[in-house]
Amino acid sequence: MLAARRVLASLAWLGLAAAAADLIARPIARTALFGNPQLDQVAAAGVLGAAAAVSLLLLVRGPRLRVFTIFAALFVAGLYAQRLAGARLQSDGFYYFAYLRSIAFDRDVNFLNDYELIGLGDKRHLFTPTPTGHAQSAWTIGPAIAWSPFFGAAHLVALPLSRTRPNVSADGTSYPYRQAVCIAGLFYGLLGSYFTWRLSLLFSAKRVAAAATALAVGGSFMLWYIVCEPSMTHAPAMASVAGFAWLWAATLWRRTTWQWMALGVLGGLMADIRWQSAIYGLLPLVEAGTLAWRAVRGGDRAALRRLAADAAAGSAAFVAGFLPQMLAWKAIYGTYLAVSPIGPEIRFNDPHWADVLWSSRNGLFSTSPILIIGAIGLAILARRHRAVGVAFALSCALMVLFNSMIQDWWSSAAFGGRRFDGAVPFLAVGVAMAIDAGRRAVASRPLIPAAVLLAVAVIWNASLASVVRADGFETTTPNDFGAVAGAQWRSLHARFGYPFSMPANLWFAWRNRVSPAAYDLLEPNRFFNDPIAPVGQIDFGGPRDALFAGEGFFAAAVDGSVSYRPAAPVAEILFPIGRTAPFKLMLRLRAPQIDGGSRQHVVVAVNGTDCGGFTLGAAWQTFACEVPAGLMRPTLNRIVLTAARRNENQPAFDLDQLRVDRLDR
Amino acid sequence: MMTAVAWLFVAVGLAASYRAANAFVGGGAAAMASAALLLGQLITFPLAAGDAAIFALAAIAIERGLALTTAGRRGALALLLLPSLGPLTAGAGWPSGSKIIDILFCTQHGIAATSAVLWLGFTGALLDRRTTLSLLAVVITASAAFAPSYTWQESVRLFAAALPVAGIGLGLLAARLRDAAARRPAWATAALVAPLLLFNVTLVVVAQRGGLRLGEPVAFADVGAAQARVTHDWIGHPFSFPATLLFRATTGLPAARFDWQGLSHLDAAHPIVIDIGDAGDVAWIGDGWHGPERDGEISYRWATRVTEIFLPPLPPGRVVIRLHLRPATAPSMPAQTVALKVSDHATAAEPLADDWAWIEHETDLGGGGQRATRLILTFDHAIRPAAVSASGDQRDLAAAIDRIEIGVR
Repeated sequence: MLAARRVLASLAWLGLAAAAADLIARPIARTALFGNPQLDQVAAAGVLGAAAAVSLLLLVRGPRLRVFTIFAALFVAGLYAQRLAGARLQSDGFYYFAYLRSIAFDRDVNFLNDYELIGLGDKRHLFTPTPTGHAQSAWTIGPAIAWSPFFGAAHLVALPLSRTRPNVSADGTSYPYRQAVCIAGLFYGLLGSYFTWRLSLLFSAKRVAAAATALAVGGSFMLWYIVCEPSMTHAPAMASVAGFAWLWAATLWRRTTWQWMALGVLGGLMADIRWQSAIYGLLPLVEAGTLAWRAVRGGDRAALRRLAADAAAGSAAFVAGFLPQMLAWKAIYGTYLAVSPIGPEIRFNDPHWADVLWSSRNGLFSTSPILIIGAIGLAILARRHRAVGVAFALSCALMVLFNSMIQDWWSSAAFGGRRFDGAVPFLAVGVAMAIDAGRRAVASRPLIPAAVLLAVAVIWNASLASVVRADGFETTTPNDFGAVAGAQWRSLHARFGYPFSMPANLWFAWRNRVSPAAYDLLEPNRFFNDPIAPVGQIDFGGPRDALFAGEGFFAAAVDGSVSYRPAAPVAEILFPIGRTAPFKLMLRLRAPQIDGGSRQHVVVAVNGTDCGGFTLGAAWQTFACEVPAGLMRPTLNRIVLTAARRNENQPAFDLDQLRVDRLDR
Repeated sequence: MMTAVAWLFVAVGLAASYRAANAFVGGGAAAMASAALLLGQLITFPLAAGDAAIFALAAIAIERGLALTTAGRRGALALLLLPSLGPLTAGAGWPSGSKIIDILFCTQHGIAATSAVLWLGFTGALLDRRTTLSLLAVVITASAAFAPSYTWQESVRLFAAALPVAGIGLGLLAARLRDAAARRPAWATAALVAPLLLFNVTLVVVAQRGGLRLGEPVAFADVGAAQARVTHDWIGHPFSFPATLLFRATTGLPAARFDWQGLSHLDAAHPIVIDIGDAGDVAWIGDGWHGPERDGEISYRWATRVTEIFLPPLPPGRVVIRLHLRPATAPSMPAQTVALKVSDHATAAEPLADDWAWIEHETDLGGGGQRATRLILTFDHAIRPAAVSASGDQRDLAAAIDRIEIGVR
């Protein structure tokens, strides 16, 4: 029986390995072990891998082997998903890749040739010489270090392929190298998940930790950066922070000097991969501070000396770990610590902390709602393990503050709050704590899950009734519930707003007397959100004006080259702004054409205060008035245009453009 | 006045349902079930006075029947079956399996498909032999009274007598979940949070398909609707389960296609009309279609040489298929033809006129009819405009199709 189990397990391992080999060979060598060699024709490998993984999970014994099996199966599943998602080197991945290629083939960090070779030749700002004559780089060296074993393996594949395939070169630029970093991204994503699990395990039961890790990684933006865009830095960044946090928490209060040094080196590497991850260095600082306070209070000079020595060793090790980045900066910019002029600005006086959490533009919680549970769980952790909870929560809060001060706080063309990659392991611990607290609550009130299920069913029925009333459901023909479900969601959203942007959207709605649903688009589209933006402009009749056109506007129209909106006698413009200032408000208007363009008088009021009146003629004219500082609030403002002459159901005037200039710039 | 009377009956029925559920599962679960029935069903989809009376009488009968079970078996059985007379007040016919599926799970008529509360309630009712019996009796008589030409509202009315069973079923389900949660509270908690994982996976897929523009402010109304569409594409409509599963197993089509192709209401008075190019045509079309376009008043899509349309089950006998289409033409190309195939029944290729025109084919499907199937249109050739003219259009175009109608004589 045992022998049969071993034989079956060996066969299953072989199957899993064969599936992995096929899924690696397709992108790296454009060849396949099974069936059609097309990149996404992976059904056979998928079925084989799934069968092997299920078999192994049934056959293997022993906790360590079981964990290894789960991660091996996840690796194959990740390869399969990467193929379906068409994972490739893209976006910022090119800049990290340039480091790797340049170091491996040119033995330098001057990317002038590398940028050209990997297709970044059109980005001329990269080629502005630095003080040392190098190409610009705002990116870190760490991913190149992390990817290097995979890059090296790809070189071994590229060498023989380059002799037989004209489209493969062994110079570090062809597809074997590019795809190798995608597999590296998957590997580090899983490594990060492993350390996240180990970290959670320090505070919760094994299965709770596993569920929390799966939920936090699979339920957040990390899934995207492991499967769809693995060439970004986020998977290695999460792995390094998870490893660092685990080592810190596992050795807390009883760390040896060697462990302080290991923590320091790991911290340095963590900062190499993503330099803002250095914020998580707060963990040992909190610990050292606490130890120092205890030693001083207890008059324990020996402990204080020991702590000083450990801290010094750890700091030195951190510098050693961070040395690759410092050497790179020295070569590129001439100094060991540098800030690249092409990176986004850090605006310490312009934090967007609410936006970075709840905005529809990649808000952390709005796009990865599982992390809300994690944040709640961190509060529970702080109650049960004060030092750890406070250190985790503080470092996450600092990261929120830091990310909110970056010029593009929405992380550019990102999926979700990607810059919080390092916070995911901490929030996974929070998820574990929340599940644990939930477990206690459910154990004492076991009707809670049933209540939730029935509440969801009631809401589903109520939303369907709303759709039926709005004629979104056909009572005389079959219905496509894909569309009906969408209509149900829209009806709920219109009434209550997006649940994962709460409480920010509720505050916005209360403050501005609009539906919470309006928060989605009006808040992130605020004018003057960028402190250096001098102008806010709405082109009425254009493709985006519907967002700002409140009550009293007719459908968009075009007259020659001018697109505009005819307006009712009272028309309201919604004008959201990010900061207040003295403004000059300019409106391009004309009298209605419907009665031959006879003159019209229009009064403009901003948030209920009159700002001037204008007499309109038949031709387009721009009228201006000044708005003192404070009259427009840094949220949603209402600019109401009221016409003197009114015809029932007829346009009272035409509006082409609203432009608002800041007068303090 | 009638409304007040209706609510009076509803109150009586709800009280009786609560009493019955309370005897089964205890106060907490019964109260929760009654609240769900009241809020999710009775308030959301209010009953007319007559239906409310049926609901109240059925609830009293079931409550008495369940109470009598130990005392008098025959009396109890009679009381449990009594509500099944309710649907017969609307008419009588013959029950059948397809009518039962229709009246429970159809996306037009299905009482369970259009009410999460009732779907859960009926599922819960299956947890007990006596409520199962009562439910089955109502479903059978409802299917006997049902006609496919019924509107949704008419179908809903047939189930007034089943509402107390659903109420008790909700209580049974709540109690079962309560017991499971008490045994494994950690799993129950993880299960409550797990939908957020599905949320993220669907968000990833929506982003992959371009429904979430990375880095742009998004309207979560649109994104959520796209996520709902993705989920539906994967698993079909959850409250049409298990009919969707049966459909998937017997036809090989995705479960999501059950919504339109699962059941047929085709008869002489109700032909199937597919307006190609219209917003709803995606529910019907398969492979071989380009995006929707307009030609004046006509909305249409270009079809490639072989084009697929999904159809619901077709009845036995002669079926008429009509198409309004215009072939792609080029001076150097021969006249276009089209051949139709419904499962194994194929027609000969027929030449097409050069402009918009109707063509009609009559096919004898024999005595058995067809399960949900595909209509395959095979054209003689496709034209790539860029290859035969100065156009830059690189698509392969066989014909523009505006409308497809399937009828029976």
